[in-house]
Amino acid sequence: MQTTVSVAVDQSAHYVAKHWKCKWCDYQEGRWGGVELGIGYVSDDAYRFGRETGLDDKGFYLIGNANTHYQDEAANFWDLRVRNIGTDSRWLSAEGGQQGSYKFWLGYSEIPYFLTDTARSPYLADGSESLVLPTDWVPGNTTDVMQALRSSLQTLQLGSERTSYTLGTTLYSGYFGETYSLKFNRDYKNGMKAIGVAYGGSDAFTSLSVLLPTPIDYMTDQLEFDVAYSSPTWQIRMGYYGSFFKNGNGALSWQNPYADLQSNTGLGRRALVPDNEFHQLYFSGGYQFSSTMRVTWYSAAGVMLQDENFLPYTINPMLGGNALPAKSLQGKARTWTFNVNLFSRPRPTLTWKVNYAHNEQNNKTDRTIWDSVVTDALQSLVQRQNPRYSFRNRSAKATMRHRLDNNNKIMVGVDYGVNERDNQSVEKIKKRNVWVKWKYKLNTTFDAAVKLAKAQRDGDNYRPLSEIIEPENRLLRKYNLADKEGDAFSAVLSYRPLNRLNLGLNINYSDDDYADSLLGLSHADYYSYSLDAICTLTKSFSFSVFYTWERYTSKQAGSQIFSNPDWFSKNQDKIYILGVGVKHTSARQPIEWGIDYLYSSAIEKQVLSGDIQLTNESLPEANNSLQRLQLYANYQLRESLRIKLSAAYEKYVEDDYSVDGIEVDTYSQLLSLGYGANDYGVYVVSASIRYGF
Amino acid sequence: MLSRDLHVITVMLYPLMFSLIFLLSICSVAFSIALMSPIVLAVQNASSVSPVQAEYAISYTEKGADTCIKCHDEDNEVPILPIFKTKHGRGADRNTPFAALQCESCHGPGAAHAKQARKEGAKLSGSIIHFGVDSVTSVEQQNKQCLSCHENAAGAGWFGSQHESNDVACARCHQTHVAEDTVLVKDKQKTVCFTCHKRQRADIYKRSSHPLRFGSMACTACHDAHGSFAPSALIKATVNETCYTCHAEKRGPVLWPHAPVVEDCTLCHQAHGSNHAALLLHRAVFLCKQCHSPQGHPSLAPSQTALPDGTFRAFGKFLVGKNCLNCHSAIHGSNHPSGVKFLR
Repeated sequence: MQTTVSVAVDQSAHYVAKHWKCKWCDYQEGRWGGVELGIGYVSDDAYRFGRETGLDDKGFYLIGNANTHYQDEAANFWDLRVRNIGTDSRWLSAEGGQQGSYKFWLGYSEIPYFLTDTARSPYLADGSESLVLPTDWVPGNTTDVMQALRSSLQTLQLGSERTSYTLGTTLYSGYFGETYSLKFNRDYKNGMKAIGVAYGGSDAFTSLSVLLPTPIDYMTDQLEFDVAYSSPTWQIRMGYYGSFFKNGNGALSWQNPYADLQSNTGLGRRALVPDNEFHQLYFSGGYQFSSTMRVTWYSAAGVMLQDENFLPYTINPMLGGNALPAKSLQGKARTWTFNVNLFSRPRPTLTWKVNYAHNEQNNKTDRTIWDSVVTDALQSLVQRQNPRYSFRNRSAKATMRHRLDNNNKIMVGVDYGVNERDNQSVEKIKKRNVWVKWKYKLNTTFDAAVKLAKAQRDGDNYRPLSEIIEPENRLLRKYNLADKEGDAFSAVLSYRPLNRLNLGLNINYSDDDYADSLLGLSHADYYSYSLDAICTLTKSFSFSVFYTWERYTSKQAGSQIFSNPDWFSKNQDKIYILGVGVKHTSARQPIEWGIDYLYSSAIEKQVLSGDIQLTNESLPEANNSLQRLQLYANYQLRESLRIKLSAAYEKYVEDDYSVDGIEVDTYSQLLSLGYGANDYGVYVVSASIRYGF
Repeated sequence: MLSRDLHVITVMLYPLMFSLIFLLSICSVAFSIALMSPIVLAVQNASSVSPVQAEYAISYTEKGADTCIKCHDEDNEVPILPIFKTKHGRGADRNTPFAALQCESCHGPGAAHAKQARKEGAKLSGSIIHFGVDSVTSVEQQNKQCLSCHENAAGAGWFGSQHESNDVACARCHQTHVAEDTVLVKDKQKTVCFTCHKRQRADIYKRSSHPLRFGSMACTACHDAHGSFAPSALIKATVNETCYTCHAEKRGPVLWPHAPVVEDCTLCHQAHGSNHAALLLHRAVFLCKQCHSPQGHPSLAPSQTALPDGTFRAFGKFLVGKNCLNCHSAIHGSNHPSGVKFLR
């Protein structure tokens, strides 16, 4: 049973409050916080383990964390938070100013994203835009006859590190009580990734591919300025957002490892992602008509720009001699978003909301006829006009919430949307969705919710695009454009049978049918459930466990002979995750300790069927699993000093047929990077001291 | 799966239902404007206050926070002193509770609570506004207290948002009486979000995921928990605009765009985590063939025959390594004049 307490704050209350002395109020003045210093040890080199932790190398590392705060009687303050100072995942955030008047903040963070350290390539990958082979390289028509290949391989690390700097300030209480904010963020992303390129061959079956170690040298600046005003009836925010991306490398050229085909240069070249900009103005707000009705809106207009100079059609002077029709794209796409909500509560038990949303991207880039040099050793005779993909999405939604009584609440919603696209197989799609949700709350120990939804998507006549050089099979329906019917169900249950025991159950199910898609994705469904239990055995001892099971299934069909479907695949991912935690903590004892265990396992399986030779042998299962066991203990030496100990073991195992046992020259037409799954098993132990002040 | 007939009926009823709800909405708006005059509101508010509550309504404590701290010290089951290490507890800022009615700024008049506590024990939160999951105070009333100051931070997008619609109390995520509010700390925030969002909790342990597991990234890097105008409470107006805040290199426009990339990253990627590389919905070779089946190699069945021991190993370059991307690597779009097939 919930109650409502009326709060009638009048001026007399404030008068009374003036005489409150607050003598026991523990107003903080000066500095407080804590600094943690220590040392950790990683038992093995494990590149994938360092993906987020930054602990990819065997050996010792520094532990350094800090939380420090300051404030004075005039509400001047600063807060500083530092984490993982000794690893590649370090970050820092700081904030200061005078509370209620102004504040400034800054941030720094590093995020490693390590893929593999076992890639091998004959290319000298020094981070430059030009990849060269060893001077004694002997080209071969296929990888198995490249005589110097094995002897010239160099081991490479693929992955990247993102470094981010943030600076910002907010000024409160302008002349009208408005707030000004300015924020600047700079991101660097550096590293190396694998990029596949094709070379030579009269068609895809005879073309030759190479996976190239390609440098990443990105920089993105983001600038945002806004003004906000709020009062009990009005909230307004307007501002500017700009994003500026720069790539330190405009193109990648490489020496052809295969025996020269039609080229007399032996070089290939591809473009890398171009610099681009985005500018946006936005205006949002809310207005309270009465205590029962409110309107809110958001509108934004933006423009995406890109004008990087083009490369020539090919680096090979024997091919593609025509001049480019333009020096650069002068690419421009306008964006426009408008969203308005009308929210009303005509009765305390009844709430309505109506929403209209409009989202549009209008590509204004010029269209031109372009030649095509498919690879730097193969000229295509077909010309193409560059496409402009514009779209306009509009939707209207209405929802109703009705509290039937103190225990029951029902919600109903209907959505209707229209998506319009240019230059695509379906130009107009209508979407409908209806859902109902029931919530039941018995008391503070039991509540449940069930939601059912049904959706339908219908498009105009599907037509394969005629301007595509190799037209799609007329029976194919791209799944984002295809007609679809979907059902969804979800349930949440929370039960506390005892004061010290919380139980939870979550169930999710969704099912999408693409009945008219004879080729392509025809069906997708998803099932999952999660069980949670948290038990506080005693005031100082708690135990928690969760288990999640998920299954993704999809069915698709293809046609190898460009006709009716002749192969079918049922794809399934099953995922199992178990987490267990035990924790002991007590205000009366100086020691707290805990154990955490996590096990995650996934199985990917495809079952192929078909009526011709190539299609009836299913691929092997692909599996991966992650296990982690961690023990930790903290001992309070004295009020300001705490010793922290931790020991963890983490193991990752992956079986994936697409990389396992695939050497650089396993396939004669693919010079790969020869890396397998990055399995690991590492122990990490650490000891640190935290000093509080 | 519902039957086809039932589905047809549902579809036929759909416009009717939508119209009905829309009409009712308009009526409710008109009703609000016409009838919710200040006088009516005053009567409504007055009628919702019981005589007992009315007695307590203006009964503030005699000594303010000193009355509260007398019981709620560090040894109490509900200690409150750490609030003085938070922004709420900085009395020098005129916008904070401690610049006004102190504890009673948020909890309402506390005289009755204090009086009853002295007489009958500590479990008397019903006579003040109490915050939290187990509170006897309604979620609406709890949140109303918070929004009375935080109307701009949360107000514009809050009403009608997922969290508001599902009766999520501010205090379900935020802790105000502790020195450090967990949900505001980047490397700890996910533990708060995952108490409800179990699917997302599972996703971070999958083969590929965004870096939430060890706290390099927080949920609020992409989502605004207080509500936004974008789907899934994203921080920017659309899915793609949100993704571009970190992945601006995918933005373009480019000469040869890939249509689904322009429109919605989630057509191919599963943002929270996936059993496949690069957060893909499916293994790339299957994902691509769900939209592409022209004449030639894209139509080949991805079968075991193309593996190294298979009878058609020549087709292995379409299956292993980066499979389709062994050649079509500019899959997010190409700005090369010859990049029509995303080869360069």
